[in-house]
Amino acid sequence: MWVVSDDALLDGLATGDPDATAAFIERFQRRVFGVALRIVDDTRLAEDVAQETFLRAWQRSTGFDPRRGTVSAWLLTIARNLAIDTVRLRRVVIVDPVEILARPESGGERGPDDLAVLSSDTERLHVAMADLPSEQCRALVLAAFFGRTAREIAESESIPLGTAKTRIRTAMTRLRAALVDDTEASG
Amino acid sequence: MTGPNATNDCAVMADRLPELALGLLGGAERAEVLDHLDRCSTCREASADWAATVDVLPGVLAEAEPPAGFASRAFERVHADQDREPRRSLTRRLLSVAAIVAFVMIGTLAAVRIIDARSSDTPSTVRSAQMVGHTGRHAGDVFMTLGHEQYVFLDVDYGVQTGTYRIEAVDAANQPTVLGTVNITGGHGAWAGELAGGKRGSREPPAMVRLVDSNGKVLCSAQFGAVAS
Repeated sequence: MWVVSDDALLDGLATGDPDATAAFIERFQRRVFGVALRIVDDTRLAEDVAQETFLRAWQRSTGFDPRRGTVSAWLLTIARNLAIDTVRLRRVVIVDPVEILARPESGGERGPDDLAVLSSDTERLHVAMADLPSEQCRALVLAAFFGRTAREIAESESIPLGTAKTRIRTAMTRLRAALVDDTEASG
Repeated sequence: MTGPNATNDCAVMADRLPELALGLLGGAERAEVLDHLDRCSTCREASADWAATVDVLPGVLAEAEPPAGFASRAFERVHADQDREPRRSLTRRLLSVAAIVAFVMIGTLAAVRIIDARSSDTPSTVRSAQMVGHTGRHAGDVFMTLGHEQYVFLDVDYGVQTGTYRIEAVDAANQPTVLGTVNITGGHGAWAGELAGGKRGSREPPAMVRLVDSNGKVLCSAQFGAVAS
């Protein structure tokens, strides 16, 4: 079966084509809603975030630059940022941030571009994050998915500011190394 | 970046780049890093690498089945906005740009025929290139006609702040020629004019067309060929 690429669907969304818009939402709804739900931890709020994500995607669609990444990464970054804004507003106390890193369920429609990316970057990130020392993983999750600054992490974890910064930076360095190593190995 | 403090500056900034990519820096610290990135291509590249790492992070969060009817509700919300702000299709936008270029070409051709009927039989060719900012972001397009009629059409889509900018054509030896100025409002602006400095009859485009602000800073450029560094 011929499957329309993610880029082509985004082009359709950008022109306001109703069929492409519906197909775009259908393709990405589980991933967008998943990001929103894991971060805000509330079904109603997650739906608000996910709907807003698709609205922003349409409004910013002409600004998408395929040289900077995939449609999926671009869209999920919009969802992540909106979800972080929501969490910041609610001032939620996060007990176990690493819980949001549960493995993905199977199923849902995927575009041809994404199948390749899923089998590479996402899987490598899962492995790399699982290999991180727990305190680094906590710091990274708090920073990347809950928008906590190094100072806020230092306070909540009762550690010096410099230690919080080091944990974030070291975790990021390891993830980046995992992605680069694998890219070079497969290249 | 160059200068005696370059290495020290870069070492300090390198420590802050992961936090910048995660969106955790604020106020003066963020401004300081962005100012450094403006001047340092090495750190700019490193910053883009960190940003790429952050971009793929949300992919590790598990999918979830949205509530029943979510897709319909999301579609209605997006479609209502699309109805309020209908956007011309990409094809139609390209056609409209092409129509302006064609209009310029036809107008020029007619004028040349009136002035000098003997020299008007050489057809022109059209070249185009994307305008890209220093972060690699697409900022617009440049079209030009080459040959007997040499005109430039510049269309800025987004990514450039409101203001008046100088348009320069740069030759392979990195010598700029000012073509004119363009006003950008709300990220949009267009300009059409003669390719000053071009050799009439030549089919070689300038190596680059770029937008420059009042401080001489290049905001974005469209590359047509190699420029000597």
